[in-house]
Amino acid sequence: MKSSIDHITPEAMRDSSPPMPRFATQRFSRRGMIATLTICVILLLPTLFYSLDADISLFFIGARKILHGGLYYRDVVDVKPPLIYYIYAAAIALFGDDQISIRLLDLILQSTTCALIFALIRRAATDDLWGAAAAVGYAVIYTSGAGSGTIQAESYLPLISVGMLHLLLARETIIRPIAIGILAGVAMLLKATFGALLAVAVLAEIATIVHPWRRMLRDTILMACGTAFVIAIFFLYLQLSGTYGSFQLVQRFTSGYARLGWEHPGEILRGGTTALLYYFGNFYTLLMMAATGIGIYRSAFPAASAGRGTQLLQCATLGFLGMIGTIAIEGKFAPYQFSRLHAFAVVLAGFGLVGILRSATARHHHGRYTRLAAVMILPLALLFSPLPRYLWFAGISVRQELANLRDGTAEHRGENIPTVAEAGITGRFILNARRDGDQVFAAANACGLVYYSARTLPEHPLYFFAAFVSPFAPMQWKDSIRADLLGSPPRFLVLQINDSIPGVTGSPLSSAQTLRALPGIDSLLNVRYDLALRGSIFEVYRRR
Amino acid sequence: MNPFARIFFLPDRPSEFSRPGWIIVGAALLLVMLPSLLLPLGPDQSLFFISGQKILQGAVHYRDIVDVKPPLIYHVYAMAIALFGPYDVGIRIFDLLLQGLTCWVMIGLIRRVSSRDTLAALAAFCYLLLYYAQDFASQAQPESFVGLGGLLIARMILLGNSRHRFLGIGAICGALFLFKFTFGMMLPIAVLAEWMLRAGSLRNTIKSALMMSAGFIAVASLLPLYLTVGGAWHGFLLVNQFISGYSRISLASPVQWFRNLLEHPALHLADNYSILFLTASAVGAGLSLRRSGEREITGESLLRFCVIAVVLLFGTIVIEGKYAFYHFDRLYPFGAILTAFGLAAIARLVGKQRKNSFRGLVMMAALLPALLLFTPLPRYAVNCAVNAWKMWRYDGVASAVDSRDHSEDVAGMDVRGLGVYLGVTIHERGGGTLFVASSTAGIIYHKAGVVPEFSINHFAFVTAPFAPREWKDSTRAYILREQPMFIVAETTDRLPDITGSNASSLETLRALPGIDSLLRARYDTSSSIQSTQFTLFEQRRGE
Repeated sequence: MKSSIDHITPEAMRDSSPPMPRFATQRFSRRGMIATLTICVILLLPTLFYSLDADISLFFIGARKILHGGLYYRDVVDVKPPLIYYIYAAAIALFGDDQISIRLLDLILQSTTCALIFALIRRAATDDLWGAAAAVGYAVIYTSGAGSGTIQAESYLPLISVGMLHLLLARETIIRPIAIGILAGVAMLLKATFGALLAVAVLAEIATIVHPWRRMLRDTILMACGTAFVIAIFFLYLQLSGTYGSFQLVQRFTSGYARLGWEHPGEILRGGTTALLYYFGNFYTLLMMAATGIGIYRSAFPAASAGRGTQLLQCATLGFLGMIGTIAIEGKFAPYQFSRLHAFAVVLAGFGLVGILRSATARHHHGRYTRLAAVMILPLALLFSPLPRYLWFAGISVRQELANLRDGTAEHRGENIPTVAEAGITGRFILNARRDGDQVFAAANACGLVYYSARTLPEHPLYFFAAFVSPFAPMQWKDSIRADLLGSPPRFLVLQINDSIPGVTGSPLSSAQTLRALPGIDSLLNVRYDLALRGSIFEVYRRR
Repeated sequence: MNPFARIFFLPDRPSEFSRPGWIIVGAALLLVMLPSLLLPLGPDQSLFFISGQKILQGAVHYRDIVDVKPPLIYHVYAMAIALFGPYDVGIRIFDLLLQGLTCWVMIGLIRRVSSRDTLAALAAFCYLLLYYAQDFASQAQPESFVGLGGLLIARMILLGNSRHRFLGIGAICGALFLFKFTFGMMLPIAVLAEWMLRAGSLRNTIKSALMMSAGFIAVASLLPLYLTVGGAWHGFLLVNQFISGYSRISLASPVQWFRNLLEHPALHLADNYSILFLTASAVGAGLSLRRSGEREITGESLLRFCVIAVVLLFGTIVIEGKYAFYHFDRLYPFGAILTAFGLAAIARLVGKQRKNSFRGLVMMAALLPALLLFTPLPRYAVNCAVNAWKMWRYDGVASAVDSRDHSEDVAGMDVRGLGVYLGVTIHERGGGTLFVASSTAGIIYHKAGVVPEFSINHFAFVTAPFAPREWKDSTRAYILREQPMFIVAETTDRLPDITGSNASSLETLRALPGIDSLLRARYDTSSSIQSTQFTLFEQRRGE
């Protein structure tokens, strides 16, 4: 039996025997390209209405501190490399000190990603329908990630990945491998494991581009040099800013954090597999997964007339698998972690989707059963596509934002989420109660949300919450927090009471419990503070 | 050949497999099924089990047993207990025979329509893998019978010639209806398939549909007959009153209903059904679109039947609005056939590439472990094989299976131990009555070896605000009148999705007028069982 995917080729997929009056391979006119990119931007627009969450609000407050002269690793301490904080800082510098700023910059960056995906496929395969499917698919999947799935460090890897794919398929020059290496280095500044892009690029060169081995060796060395160059600049920054010691502390924490994921390899395998399937079934969606499978198949078994389209599929397959590998290495499986796959995934899925569309519409035999099958399968295909998820999240946030605008409560964005809502209440309470010069300290996983709502910036260094909750966090951090609190007690102390996340911190304790366990803090709270506000998530203490 | 023989006997054509080949296939399939014999019964199966025991003692469903499902599953359990004895393994043997029979019909059907023994064996293997890869509580459910019924219908439609077969098809649809009302969907499936695959004209389709409906009505009308003869109409109407409230829960919030529809089936299909099987099923569905000769019965015809069945049966799951793992059982027999055809097509495609792509082969070799991860094999290994081994190793202590962290494991470690403890204690004291207020009451009664006198076993029928007043009153009256020696109440079974209430069984029990004071006045809280899940009230000695 001949399969329906048997006759699809990446080179414009034009080897199907039946004629294809509809959806045939074609180059779009300029108007068609503009329309495609406009659709992508429109699809991305709802991200403007998404709110901050615990993670990304920390980036936002950290960026504010950087813009106020703070230094990453000294005044802002997080397990992530600094680039994401500087992206946020750039957004605030460009568009102002409001959460919309990062959303605007994100819209620009993600639109650019879509445009680059389209251009990449256009160049490699001369099939603009494939390019359009991939670009639109990217916009839909990215927006379907909702508030917590967007503007993360992982969200910007696709931009770098597409750039790398462009370079991998580009004309041979000496600059090309160096530029690839530099991109891998920049990716490492988003997250250290993204350095795997370098391995992906090297493998892609070996597997897809036929060169003499000397040339391959030279390119590999040049790529490594490019990455080393970025790493060298990073270490220069650490030395010049005098934050190398803090960086080493972060590394000590990171080694404990990484071990946490791998304490029970069996659990990782089981939990990881379940999370992977949950993501692919529920977020990436089954239709996209099936289409991606077609793309992977075609990359493994190229048609006889294989060209750069096949090369692109092979590079994308390697990237897709490599990025899954990085998630497995990290041992953390939150849905946003999978954003790193998206550039590679949509290239594969776009190919598969267009193949399915062409196979379905090119058939001459439209019998009774075919029509019935179309009627029955189409709703299922739509149900298991990213569209309902997109409409769901985009719809909720747009509706909520419109209601906020109508009620004149624009600052209540995202307050349909309990933590965001209570952080908003807490922040507004502090905002109304504080006087000039009053300091606020939030010991909370969602401390960024509290600072944001209270429109304040902590005077003390900004630590991510695991820094004092984790048993493997360096003692210096806990001592520093304790000394700051005891030395200059802030006017308001906010404690989160429900943020016990053993999978992240390695401790069953909440921020509130951990902070009170630091020597002297409990008595400080009892003697010098009154409970000013108690919610189900946060407690606010006010110094007498 | 008579119609019965047509259904069950294999075709008169050369076989790909020799007799020893088929023996090996049979042994392999049996090997997949065998570990399930060691698995315990889950909460639902235990309820069916004690109801079956009650039926053997002369009880009538809806009159002496309160539960939402139609009567057939309870009577089937009664039959299994009568045949194999009142043990977990008896039900497991019955289920094994049922699934074995399903595989037999599936193999025969595929061989007849495609002459491909390998495909037939592969489909049966895929089916068993899907079925047994689920949690142990998901087998021997009403859904487990859809495969046999559905495949018999497929066989009659595709291979039958006699007009009387339509009556048989209708009768099978009627029987499935008596397992679960939504399984009545098999009738439209059969009509649609007949129209698409055999009848040719609308006139013929209408004729066959009428005959199918006659068969359906003949069997379905056994229900009113049963209710009339058993004097169970009143109970049936009360159950329907409950069902209307129960259905309103899932439809109360269309937004939540839609969200559930988005989330649960996708997760189930990716995780349980597995990505590889899903992809293969999609390929199988694609193959069903291939042109086949007018009214010629081929592999494509069977695939078409399976596509129709999968889509419409998926519709019944959506209608029910509940997405437990076992709800998807109804799709598996047809999904397995699509999967087998799809896998074979993919394998052939890959095989063809071997000549011209060494790199492709290397890539496939690298992908193979990942592919295995995305089949139901790992789930089968954990849920069936490993759990069976644990049961064997720990000498049949079911809690060994329960101890793992699993969302379906509502019972935890306590429930079976508690049941066994109560059984032993009652036996030592030479008798005594037991009342269990819990959503896992079936397991406790079953492990205690007690056939409950009272009609309500699942306490959701008392907890739900929309439950008939009569049920709450009769529960209260029974406890006050009988004052059982032991009362067990679950403290953690808050099931708002089922009951529409956030109250636990213990809270509901205490809220019944007079019960709280009875418990305080006449009962002690037993310290024999250290459980966070249950409170055991023991009547004071001499009371």
